[in-house]
Parts: sequence; structure tokens; C-alpha cells
Amino acid sequence: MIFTSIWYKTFSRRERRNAAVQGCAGARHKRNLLFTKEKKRQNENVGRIEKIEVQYTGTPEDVTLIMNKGISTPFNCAQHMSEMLMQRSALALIDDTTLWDMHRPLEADCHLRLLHFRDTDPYHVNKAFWRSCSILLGAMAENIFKEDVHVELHSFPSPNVKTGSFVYDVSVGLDNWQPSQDELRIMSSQMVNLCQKGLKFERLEVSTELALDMFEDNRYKADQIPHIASQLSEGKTVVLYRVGDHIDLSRGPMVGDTSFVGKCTVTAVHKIETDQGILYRFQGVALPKGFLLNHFAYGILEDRARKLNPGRLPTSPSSVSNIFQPTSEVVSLVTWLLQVTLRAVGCVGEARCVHFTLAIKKPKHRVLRMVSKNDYMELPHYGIWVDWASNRNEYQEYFLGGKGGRCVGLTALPPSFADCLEI
Amino acid sequence: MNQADVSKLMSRLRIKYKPVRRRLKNPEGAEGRLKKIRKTLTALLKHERIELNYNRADETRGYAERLISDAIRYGDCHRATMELADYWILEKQLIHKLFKVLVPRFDNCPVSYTRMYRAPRPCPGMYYKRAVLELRGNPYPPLLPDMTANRNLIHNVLLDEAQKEFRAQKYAEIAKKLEAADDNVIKSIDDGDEESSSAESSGEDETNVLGEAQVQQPGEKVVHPSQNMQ
Amino acid sequence: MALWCRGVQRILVDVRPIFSLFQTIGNTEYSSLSSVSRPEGLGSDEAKEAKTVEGHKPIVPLECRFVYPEFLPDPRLDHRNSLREKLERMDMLNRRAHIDIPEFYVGSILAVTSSNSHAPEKSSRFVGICIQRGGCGLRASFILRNVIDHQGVEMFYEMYSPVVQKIEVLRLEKRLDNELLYLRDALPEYSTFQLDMEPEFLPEGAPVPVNPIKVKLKPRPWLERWERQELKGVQDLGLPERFYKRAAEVARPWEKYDLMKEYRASIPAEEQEEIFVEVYSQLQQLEVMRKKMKRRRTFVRPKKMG
Repeated sequence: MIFTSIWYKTFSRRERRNAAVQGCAGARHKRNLLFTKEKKRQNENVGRIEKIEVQYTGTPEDVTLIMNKGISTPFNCAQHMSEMLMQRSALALIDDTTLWDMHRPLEADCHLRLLHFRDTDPYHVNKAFWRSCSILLGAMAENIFKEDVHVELHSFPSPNVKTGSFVYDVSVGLDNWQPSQDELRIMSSQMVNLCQKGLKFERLEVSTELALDMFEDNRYKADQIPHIASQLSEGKTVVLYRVGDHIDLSRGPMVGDTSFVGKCTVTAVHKIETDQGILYRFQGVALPKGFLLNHFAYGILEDRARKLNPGRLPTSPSSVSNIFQPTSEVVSLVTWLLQVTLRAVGCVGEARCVHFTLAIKKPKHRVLRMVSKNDYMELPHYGIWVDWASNRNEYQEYFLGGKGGRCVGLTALPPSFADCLEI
Repeated sequence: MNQADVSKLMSRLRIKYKPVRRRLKNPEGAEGRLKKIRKTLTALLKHERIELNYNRADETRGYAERLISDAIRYGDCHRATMELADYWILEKQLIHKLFKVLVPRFDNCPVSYTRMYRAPRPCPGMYYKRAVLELRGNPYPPLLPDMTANRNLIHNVLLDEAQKEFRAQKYAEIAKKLEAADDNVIKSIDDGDEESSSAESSGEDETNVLGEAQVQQPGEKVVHPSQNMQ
Repeated sequence: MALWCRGVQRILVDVRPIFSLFQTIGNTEYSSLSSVSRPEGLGSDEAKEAKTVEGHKPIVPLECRFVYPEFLPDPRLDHRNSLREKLERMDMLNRRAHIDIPEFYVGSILAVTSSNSHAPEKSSRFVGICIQRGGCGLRASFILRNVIDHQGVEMFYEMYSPVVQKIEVLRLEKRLDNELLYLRDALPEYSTFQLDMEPEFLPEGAPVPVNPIKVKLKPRPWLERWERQELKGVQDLGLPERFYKRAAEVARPWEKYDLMKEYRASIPAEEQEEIFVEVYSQLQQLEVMRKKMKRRRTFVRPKKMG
């Protein structure tokens, strides 16, 4: 057993504290301090509070909210509208183009949509969920080993739900380590503990220098930071996410907080050999909270997640070159082309190019993702336990095709039956 | 300890019901309670989906289930059942609906005939629990989201991919098996040409080499033609 | 407790194969047996019922519920306990293997021999008409009534009580009502029976006859307001008009439409079938045994004579 849970039993509290301050925990502490400081600084930079207009479309009704620029988040918007929105929204969509974290302050006037796991096409939410799970897996992997095992997080490939497992590649200072079933179970339980805490995913955009300062103990991350900064089109910044006391590099977006993760298992750890040495690929599978799957079906998913994930193997950033970065003109050109094609085909929806990646190394990678407005149309949703008054009106509308008409099935029965339902 | 009243046979209800009735308070007492339920029951049969107070919905549900199960059990030629239907259904054309529409609909139904959902309560106000009561098989769109139909939901995506992978694996196995069988045929024909007496032993050897119980069948099949050839 | 439960489960598991073994025997035997007879109180409804149910082909005859009503559990939901019910049924069958509890109805005339420590022969025999049956499971009971020395006497017996030594049916018949408690207020000749009554045998396969006798009640005061109960086996009560008026006022004619009240007071057909499938083969076995015993006795006598 090489995990801290066992290690805790063997050392006195004082020894433990000394070791923690000296080792990787010390680095984590420093990283957190820097993160908090930078966040505070950025908050102070907001200065005088300005108002922005947020137009929300979707259930329960379309509203326009006046929010604070640089302070209010989509989560705050949901708080103004309904408890149900607050609880179920995992991701926001700004101006139908940009995916936005629930806890990321809004920066300008915008149209807002809130996405959840039961949308007609929850592709983006699923992806964000998978990404969040990867980060949590990294957080778990960093904390769970004993102090004498040197753990360095490497990275995780772009999340793909279809591969059946989320992944984190970690460098563990052990040769030929093969985790036992018990160890996997401990890791799963740690992961579940982390999820049950309901920690927020905090997003922060920091300068490269600060990021390098924060990740000076991790050579892989330090390598990646300049490369990631150069990938972003403007400025020399990178995006950091903090969950609990774990800080990681990721482009995002993430789901609102860790409580969205329901059933969760760490299924396997595979040893992979890359040009950066021997890494361990941690794999897991999870479902969002409220998705009830019988244990047999979930067992199938677990079995599949045990196989080595075919995701991109980690490479040193210098070997990836010649990344195609579309300029805004290219994007608008493609959007225009798309719209012309759609009109020719006879599709009435509005289309826009959202996500445009072209990786030289993997030509099979999804090149273009088209998002049409129809994807986000919502059907009325009526849960057993939903305490959601406004939904009834919507439900009436569904029957009547408009408010104020003659209702067929619900509260407004025809006058002859008014007495039927009197209390 | 009471003895069960066995004078009338009735089908088992597929719903949960309270051991004691609710009184549904009203000035007319027990008769008024039945009258109240009668109205709701008629409305349920007419509209097939109604929203009302939880207590009343729950009480009515049992009566609706009993009425339909009796109609199914005894049919429309049974005088007692007809009297019941006449009492419980206020709008008499609905009696025809009960026997001609609902009875065929629920004839082989293995579950309850009605469904009940908790409905949202009006937020500021008297906190009566609300419910939606509906007959199964009604023409309205379903109240609950269908978690199986939408294949884009995360668990469906995962399961579909797992299914695809499993099938691909099975096809690969079958292909491998076929290949092995082909090899066997060629080999055994060769063996048959060379020395026909050792046909059986060659078949056994093949299965041992492959080390799979499933492959034994093609191996045996291969053996028979060579025996016939003798 | 857990250990006990496990023990019980083992017993149940052991017993089941025996049940299934007897199942086939019981079914084939049924067609020739006649003791199970149709009640006639239900009239046309019953005929309809049989007609509609025929497609279903029950494994056990539905009339079981009239012959062995005490095997059905208490319909009150809060008194139900499937394990206890099952154990009770096993105990009842065990008791029935020791003493013969015959088929009888309210209105039948019975003779019950029970042990009595105060009696000179340590047992006493009572003859009377069954005026009420009640209870379920091991607590099933009945009340016998007779008038002895111009004094009405009622005896309450528990069917499965170890005190009961023998139950004989002297006259197997039914009355028009389900309870004959009004005999307490009737003239004494209606509930007077000879203690040395000879048993009357019904021919094989005959239905249980219904005695259409109408009882004449004594003048008021009564123990109950009989005019308010819809009694069929009572002659005209001869009361002033105001009594009938009041009876009509307090009548509750809607109760027969109260479907859930009806349901809460009875055991659904599927459940009845489950229960009788469990016990029917054994009951049939006991019945056959009893008949054999009787036949043997009748065969033995002529041999002795010869």
C-alpha cells in the first residue's frame, strides 16, 4: 500500500505536518496562495460597477436581466430565475457561440442560454463533464500517494465521451506499478469524497509568468505553459482552474461544481511509454448525478473503461508544431459558407461555426462542429419531484398552442367541470 | 382478526393504497365523500389526465382502478358491474367508453391502469400537495422525459459505444473462427489424402492447438466429411 | 431471531416439493369429489362470475373460499405478515391432520366435543346451531347456540384450539343470512336442538341445501335494532311505522358502491388462488384419508357380523 490513508496511520501528526510543508503539499499551498492573490487582484481591477444587459432565452421564460459587469456569473442569473435552473444548469452558452462556465463572470451584454445534461443534444455539457472528471481524477491522483512517491501530473487528452473513459496521464515515481483492486477502490472512494464536497470550479486567466511561477515544481506543466499560451490567439495568458485546493491547466469549460458528478469509478491505471518517459494513464468512468443506471449496465461501462483509452498519447510540446489557428475572418467565412449551404438544402435554422480545430497529427480528429439553433430548443420537462410552478403554464401552452385558450387536461377544465376539481 | 369477505371476487390492484380511507371532509359525510370522488372519477375517464389535490387524486385512483378492473373481469353483461358503472360515471356516454374503449385497452395490461405524479404547488399560498392523475395510454404527450429515446444523453452515448465495441469484437472473433475453420478444412483434406485413418486424431489436435472449446464444433464437422470420404 | 427465521425458511423449502407432489393428485381427485359445493346465496351473480372466469382456468376451485374461509388472511393491511400467515397455514394443516374439521356453514348444526377438566369424563359434548363464524388463521372461531332447560346457551369455540377434540356436523345446511345473531331474540323453538340428534347425511355430490325458514322474533326490547339490518330469515317484525322510517333515514345505501371499502375488506382473487394452491392439495389429501377411514369402518362391520 502506497497511499496516504495507510501512511497516516504510521506517522505522528507532527511528522506528518513537517513532511507536508516540505513536500508537494507545500508547493500546492504556494500555488493556492498565488491563485487567491491573483483572483483578488483581478476582482479589485473591476473597479466601478457597470451594468450589463443579459437576455436569457429558454425555460421557464425569456427574460432580460440587468447584471454587474465582471462580477455576475451565469449562475447568478439562474439564481434570479428559478431554483431548478440553479440546480440543473451545468454550462452556459453566450451569444449561441461561446461556451461559458457557470461561475465565470460575464463581461458584456449578451444572450444567455443555460445548458443541462438532459438537453436534446447535450454534446457540449457531456464534454465539459468529462473534462471536469479528468481534472478531478488528476486532483485525486496527486493527493492519494504517500509523500515519498514523487507524483507529477502531466496532462489529459481532449475529452471524448465516446472513448468510454476519462483520462489523466500522471508521472509516478514507481517502476512497474500495477494497482490492486483495493487500491482502485480506494481511489474511487477518494474521487467520490471529492465529488460529494460540491467544490466549485474556479476559473482564472493568469499571465504566463505567474503560471510558470505556480507550476515551477512540475516540469511537464512548466513545459506546457508557453506552448498553451502561444495557442491562445491573444496575449500571453493561460487559463487555470481551481477545485478545492487543486489547481490545473485547462482550456475549459467545466461544469459548475463537483456535485454534478454522481456515480463515479476509477477503473484502471495503465502504464504507457512516451517520449517523455514512463507515464501512468489513470482512467475512470462517471455519470452525472440523477442518471440512474442499473448496476449491470454500469458494469458494462466499467468493463469498457478498463481497456486502455485510445486518446492522444502525451508528447512534449515542442514536437507538436504547425498548429492551424483560424483567424476570425476564416471563421466568419466558414460560417457564411455553412449558412449558404444550409439555405440551399432548405434548413431553416441558424448555423454558426463555433469550434474550429485542425490537428496536423490526427487527421481523423473532428474538424468542424456545427451548431444550429435547433439543437438547443427545449421540450417541456416535467419531473416527478419538480417544484416548479411556471412549468405548468408552459405545459398548458403545449396543449393549447398559446396562453389563454381552452385547456384540455389541466387546471382550467371546461366550466361544466369546474365543480369537479373544487377543493 | 377479521375474516375476509369472500362474497365477491375482485382482481388485485396494482397500486399502493392506504390501509385506511381518507375522509375528504365535507358536510355530507361518507356519502358526500363518494359523490366527490364520483365527480373526479368521471372527469378522469372523460379527460384521461387531470391535475388536482393529492389526497383526492390518491383516493380517486383506487376507485378508478377498481372500476376498470371490475369492468375487465365481469364485462358489460354483468348486472352488478353495470350498476356500479352507472353509479360511478355521471356522464352516461362514458359508460360506453369504459366498456368499449378502456376495457380493450387495459385487457392484458400487467401494470396499473392509472398513473399519478406529484405536481408542482403554487408557490406562495396554501400548501396543498398537488398531483396529476392520468389513465395509461392516453393520447397526450408523456409527462416525464424519456431517458431512453434521446440517444445523445451521456449514458446512452456510453452504452451505444460499448455496444459498438462489443459487436466489433464479436465480428472479429467470428472472422477468426471462420479462418481457423477454413484452415482446418484444408488441413484435414490434406490429411485425408495422405493418411485417411488418422482423421479423428487430426481433428483433436486442431482443437488442442486452438485451445478453445467453441472451436471444437467446426473441428468435429470437419472430421465427418473426411470419414464419409472413406 | 435470525437463526429462527433461517430455520423456518428451511422448513418452507423442505415442504414445498411435497406440496407440488400432491398438486397433481389433488387436481385429478377434485372432479370426483363432491364435498365442495356451490353456495346459492349469490344467485345469478355467481353464474356470471363462473362464465367470465372460465377463460382463466383456475388451478383450484374458487369455491374453496366458502369452505375454508379461515385460510385467507386478515384483509387489514396493517395486520398482514406473509411469513406469519404461511406459518399459521402450516400449523392449521398440521392440526387438521390430527382432528377432522369438517365443512360447515352458518346455520349448520354441529356437535363439538371438547376437553373439560370439571366434567366427570374430562370432556363435554355440546350440540347447537352455528350462528356466527369469524376470525382467520389459527384464531378462526365459531359460536354454537342451543336452548337447554329453557335457557339459551351459547358456546364459543376456536376451531384450531387444542381443547377441541371432535367436531361433527349433524346437519349440513345454510340459512338465508350470513349471521344468525337474531336467534338470540327469536322464540326459543328456533334454536332448540336435541342433544342426542342423529347425524343426517347428504347424498354424494348434492349441493348444500339452503334452509329458507323465516324466524319469528320475540316482541321488543331486543339486543339489536333488527329492523335496521336487512335480514332475510326473519318474519315480519310487526313494528310501528316510525321504526321503519327511522331505519330508512339511517340506512347507508351507498355503501354497496364503495369499491375501496369492499376491497379493503376482502382478499383479491389472485391472492386467494396463491393461498389455496399452497394448501389445497394437502386439504384434499386429508379429505381422501378421512373418506378411506370411513369406508374401512363400514367394511369392517359386515366382516364381524359374518
